[in-house]
Parts: sequence; structure tokens; C-alpha cells
Amino acid sequence: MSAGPHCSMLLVEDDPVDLDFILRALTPHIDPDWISVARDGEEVLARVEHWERGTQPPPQLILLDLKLPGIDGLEVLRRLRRSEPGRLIPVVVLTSSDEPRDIQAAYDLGANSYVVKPINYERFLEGLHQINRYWCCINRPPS
Amino acid sequence: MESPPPPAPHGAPHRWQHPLAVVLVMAPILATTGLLDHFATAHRQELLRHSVVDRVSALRGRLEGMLQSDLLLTRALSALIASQPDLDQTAFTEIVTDLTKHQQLLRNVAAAPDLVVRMIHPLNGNEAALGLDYRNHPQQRFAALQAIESGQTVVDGPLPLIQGGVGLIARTPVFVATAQGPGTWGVVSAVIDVERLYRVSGLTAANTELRLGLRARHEHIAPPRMVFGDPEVFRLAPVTATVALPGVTWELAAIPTEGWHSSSWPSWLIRLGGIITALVTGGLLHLLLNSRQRRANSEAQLRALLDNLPDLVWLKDPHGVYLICNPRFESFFGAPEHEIVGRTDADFVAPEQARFFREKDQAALAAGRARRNDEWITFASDGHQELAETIKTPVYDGAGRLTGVLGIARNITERQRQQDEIRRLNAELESRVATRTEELAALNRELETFTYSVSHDLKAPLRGIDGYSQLLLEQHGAELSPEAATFIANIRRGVEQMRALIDDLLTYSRMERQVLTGRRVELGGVIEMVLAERHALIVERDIELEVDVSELTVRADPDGLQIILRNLVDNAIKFSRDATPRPRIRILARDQGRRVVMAISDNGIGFDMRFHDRLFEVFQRLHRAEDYPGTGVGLGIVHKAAQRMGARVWAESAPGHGATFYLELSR
Repeated sequence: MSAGPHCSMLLVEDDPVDLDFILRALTPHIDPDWISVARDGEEVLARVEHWERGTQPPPQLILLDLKLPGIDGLEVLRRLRRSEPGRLIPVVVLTSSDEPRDIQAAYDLGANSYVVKPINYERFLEGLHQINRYWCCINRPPS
Repeated sequence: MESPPPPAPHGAPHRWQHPLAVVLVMAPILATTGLLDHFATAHRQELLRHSVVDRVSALRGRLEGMLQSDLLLTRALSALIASQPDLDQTAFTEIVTDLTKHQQLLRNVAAAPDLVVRMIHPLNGNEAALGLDYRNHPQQRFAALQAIESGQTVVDGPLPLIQGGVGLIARTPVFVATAQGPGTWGVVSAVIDVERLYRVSGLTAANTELRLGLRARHEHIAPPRMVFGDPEVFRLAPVTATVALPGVTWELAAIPTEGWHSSSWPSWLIRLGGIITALVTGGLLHLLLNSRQRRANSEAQLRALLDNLPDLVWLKDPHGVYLICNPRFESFFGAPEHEIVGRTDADFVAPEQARFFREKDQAALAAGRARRNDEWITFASDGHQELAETIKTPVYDGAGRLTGVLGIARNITERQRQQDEIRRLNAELESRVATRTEELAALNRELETFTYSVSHDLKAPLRGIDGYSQLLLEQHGAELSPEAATFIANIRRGVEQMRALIDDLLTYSRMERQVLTGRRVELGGVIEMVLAERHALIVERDIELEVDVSELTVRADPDGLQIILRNLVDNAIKFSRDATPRPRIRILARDQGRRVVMAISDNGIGFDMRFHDRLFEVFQRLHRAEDYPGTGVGLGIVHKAAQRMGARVWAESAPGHGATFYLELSR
């Protein structure tokens, strides 16, 4: 299975282990050049500014961890949805938390999907494969 | 200013005072009536006596007149005979006829020379009397001799006559002149018809209107002899008159037919009037005294009430002048009631306070109903202060006219103090509760942060351990001994166990923290969902499943109910693993009115009821983890969720005989 040429993706993930696993899961299907990584909220907001100014193109999918140092994932989501280019970018929340409170808050702020990271490695890989397949191959984002 | 005397003691009058007063009033009225009656009766009797006297005088006159004329006749006859001593019957008849032609009363006239009757008129019918010798007649002899001896006309009788009937005989002696001097010729007698005399004189007629008595009193003869009427009359204070005849005196006595003392209607009228007046007066006095006594009694009761009230009570007229007050009020003004009555507030308290009191009076008057206010008052008697709750009420008389303002003041110092104390304690308690609540909220927030962190931060390293173990196996499997591969597999099992534990703990903690809602949940749907999750396992284990919840709905938190059922079903599956011939799970629910009781039973290994309560505690296990893997938190979660939903959970079992878990839910 190969990724479409336009599926650019932003990973927002502070945990190096999780980041390693995610990249391992995705790179067989996506060109690594299409994947950019932000390690905290500040970094995401800096990119949002670029997108607004047009100095960088916005990604077509964002995988967002909620527990981030500094500005947390929910706050990042809130600000993203307030920015013009970030308003409609599909956001998949990928987090360890399955607290109903977090799920509710994420959807309230405009998340498109909420996925709890499995602890079992195979299930984790499988989940990411399905995310990629659905959001990058099946789903049609607004252009 | 002259102080009025203190009020007289309010004793009830003696029991006998009241009837005595009534008697004292009635007695003179009755006495006056008696007196009036007496005078009236006396006056009436006087009049009566006068009329009787008039009648008796008339009767006497007529009687005397008639008798005298007859006596005159016999005297005239005597004089005629004296002049013609030798007259015979014929001459006698001639003379007598001439003399008596106007006489009605004379029955006969007889002449008896030498006391032997020789001539008589009328002769016809009286022949029997001729030849009668008075000297030989026992009754007439004395009278005839008496007439001759006295030389006067003598009246005798009434007596029964020889000729029959009753007569009065007047005998007149006749004397003639002889050579020897005056000589006795004989006697002339005239018989007067007494019956007739009575009738003609009016005596008979009068006897029907009066009670008459007539008796004759002869000279030398006593006692008098009744001749007519009723002898009783003489003993009844009669009106009397005498008819004096020669030789006899007639006494006529008369009383009214009814007697002197007969009652008459004016007398009855006076007596009746007097009695009625006395009764009415006595009755009115009785009513008056009664009502006065009742009023006095009720006043005494009111006074006792007033004197013993713990409140200050007073009454002022509409102008603020005191009319009455009780002892408690006296101690406020520091003056006895008789000094307070007639004065105003300004005479006892500072002008400012007097003005305040007056304003409150007027406020009540203006409102036309009771007005209440609280004020601090200082008692003039000993200077102590009280917080008084004062109620002022306008007072009206029976006709709706304003008569004054009634004041009642109650000491609420202690009540106020207690209320203040309660308020202070409440405020303190509230602030303490608020502090505690704040502390608790802070703890909860910390706990939430902690569990949130656990959820993220404990899981991430586990994922790393699991992932890298797998990667090691995948990418370096060829370099590892079979034992090393086993180790890696054990590491990954440990990770799985750890994951389950963390998930259960998070669930438990969520059950504790989260607000569980009560919604209508269809029991069948929830059970179906839980069983669907476990479908593969149920098929794999060949479990016999029986579900009957007959479309019941309960009131529960859907998440909480799901967690409970999932744990109970998981337990049933887990512990019936080795049941023979095959595992069996039954899920039944029964409607018990306001509650629904669910039973989830299996035919598994069961447990000893001694451990029933420990069963529902966190981390309590009754079996070894190798035999029946689990976190030891499941039933803790069930218990916690049930507790938070207002449900109840319990179990029944015996080792080797399966277990039944009951869940009682509200409808």
C-alpha cells in the first residue's frame, strides 16, 4: 500500500519512544519527507503562524498527543481551530488517556478522531496502519 | 395632685348578701301594700257602715211609726170606752171600724171588761176569743195585769195567737170614773199582725240586702228574746237601733250580708299590684346584683391574669393617658399603678423615649391593627435593661369606638441572645464547612491530576517495554536462545498484567470521582452489549447461557451499570472455566415493585461465605493469580459503582457450588 503524494502529516508527540513507534509504523507507507514532527505545543503554534503567513504549507493531517510539556494538546487544538488554515485540517488525537473527560473535551474543540494508544505493540502498529489508511487514502480532506 | 386611693380588695361578696338585699327591697313594698290595703278596707267599711246605719235608721223609723200609730189607736179606743163604759158589740164594731179604716196591721181589736173578752172586731173568725178570761189564761194573764197595774199600754209578743199566726198584742187599760173615784173597767187589746208589720215596714225586704236581727227586751225580763232574723248578727259588730215601745224595747241589729270584712276587687287589685311590684323590683334587683357580681368576678379574674403575666401589660387612652397597668409594668416605671394611671409617658421617662413610645402608639392607631417593635428598655425599679418585643394594638369598645391602645411587652433578651449565638455558631460552622469543602475540593483536584498522570505516564513506559521486547524478538530472534525468547514473552505478559491493573485502577478511581447520573436504562440492551463483547470467549468455552430480564428498565448510570455487569459476567466466565459438564451462566432479573433485583449465577468454583465482605474490597483475591488471573480490583469497582448509583450488590455461594451475585437497582 502506498501513500498518496499529497498526504502531508504533522506528528505532535513529546515521548521519544512513542514517536519512534509511530514513525516505525508509518514509514513503510509514507515517504518520511511528508512527515514533520513537533515535540511540544510551542512548536506547533510557531508552525501555525507560518501557515497563516503562507511561509509554510499546512499539513493535510495532524496526529496530536494531548499530554505535552508547556502548552498541552487541548490548548493547541483550540488555537489551531481559531487560525484560518488550521480551522479545517483533520486532527486525530492520539493519546494514552481514555478518560471520558478528555474525549469529550477533544471533540468539543473540533477533533476529528480520538484514538487511545494501545500498550500492546502489535495493536499499536495495527492502529496506526488503519489511521493512515483511512485518513490518507480513504478520507478526502477539503482542499 | 391628690392620689386616688388604691383599689379596694376584690373579694367576692358573701353568699347571703345578695338575697338579703332582694328581701330588704321587697319587704317595704309589701308592707306599704298591706298598709294601703288596710286603709282602703277601713275606708270602705266606714262607707259600708254609714250606708247600713242609714238603712237601719229608716227601718227603725218605719217600725216605730207603724207601731206607735197602732198604739195610739188602742189609746184612743181606751179613751172612747172610758166615756161610754156600757157599749155593746155593735157600738164597739162601729167605733173600731171607724178608727181602723186606715189600719193595715191590726188583725183584731178586742175589749175585755173585767178581764173577760166581751167584744171583738172583726167578730167574724174571732168568735173563739169571746168569753176568754185573762185571769185564767196562763200566758196573757200577766200581761193584762201588768197593763192594769202600770196604767200604761203594754206591748207583748210576738206570740202565737189563739186564732193562729203570730201577733203582737198591745194592751191598754181602760179606767172609768165612778162614785168611789176612778175605777178599772178592763182592758182593750189590739193584735198586730207581726208578719205583716215586718213586710210593710220593709224589714223583710231589707233582710235580703242586710243581715238583720231583731230582739225584744221586756222590762223586768231578761235575757232578751229574738223575734226576727239571725241572732248571730248581734255578735258581729252590727249597727243597732232601738225601737222603744211601752213595756218592751226592740233592738234592731244589721250587718252587710257579706259581713264587714268581705274582700272586694279594689282590695285584690291593691294586693296583686303590690305583690307584682315587689316581685318585679326584687327580680330586677336580683338581675342587677347578679350582673354586677359577674362583672366583678370577671374583673377579678382579669386582674389576676394581668397581675401574674410575666409580660408588661398596659392600656392607654387614645391621648396617651394610662388607664391600667400590671405589676411588671410598675417596675418599669418604678411607680405603683395608682400613680401611673392618669399620667402619660412623659411623666416617667426621658422626653425622647416618651416621644418614641407615642409614635409607636400612633403607628398602631393609624394602622388600625397590632404593630410590633423591639426596643431596649431600662427598668426604673432597679436599673436593669431588657430587650422587649412590644406589641401595640388599638382597642375598640362594643360599638366600634376607639377606646385606647393596649401594649404588651415581652422580655426577649435571652431569646435574642440565643438567636445571636445560633447565628454565630451557624456562621462559624458554615465557614468551617466551606474551608473543609475547599480542602476536599483541592484534594480531589490533586487526586485527579494524579490519576491523570498515572493514566498517561505509567502507560507510556509500558508501551516502550512491550514494543522494544517485541522488536528485540523480531529483529534479533535469530541471535537469541529459546530460553531468552521465553523471558521476553514473560516480560510482555508482565506488561499486559500491569496494563490491566492500571486500567482497573483508573476505572475504580473514575467510579469514585465521577458524578453518576440516574437515567432510564433498558436492562436487556446493556446485558446484550456486554455479552456481545465476550461472544468469542463464550463460544470458545462452550458456555451454556440463559438470560431472562423480561424487558425491564432501571434507573441507573449507563456507564456504571455497564462496568458492573461486565465485571460480574467476566467473573462468571472466569470461575466457571472448569465446570462440568460445561460452564453455565444464568442472568435473571425480577421486578420487585420499586426495585429490580438481578441475579448473575454460574456453576463455577464458588467461594466460602466467610470471605463475602472481603470479596468487594480492592486488591482482595481468594484464588491464586496463576489459577485465575485478575487484578483483584474488579469486584471493588462493582461495589464502588453500585454504591455511587444507589444500588446494592451482594453474593451467595458455597465452595464448589457456584456463585450468585445479586444487584438491586431502582426502577
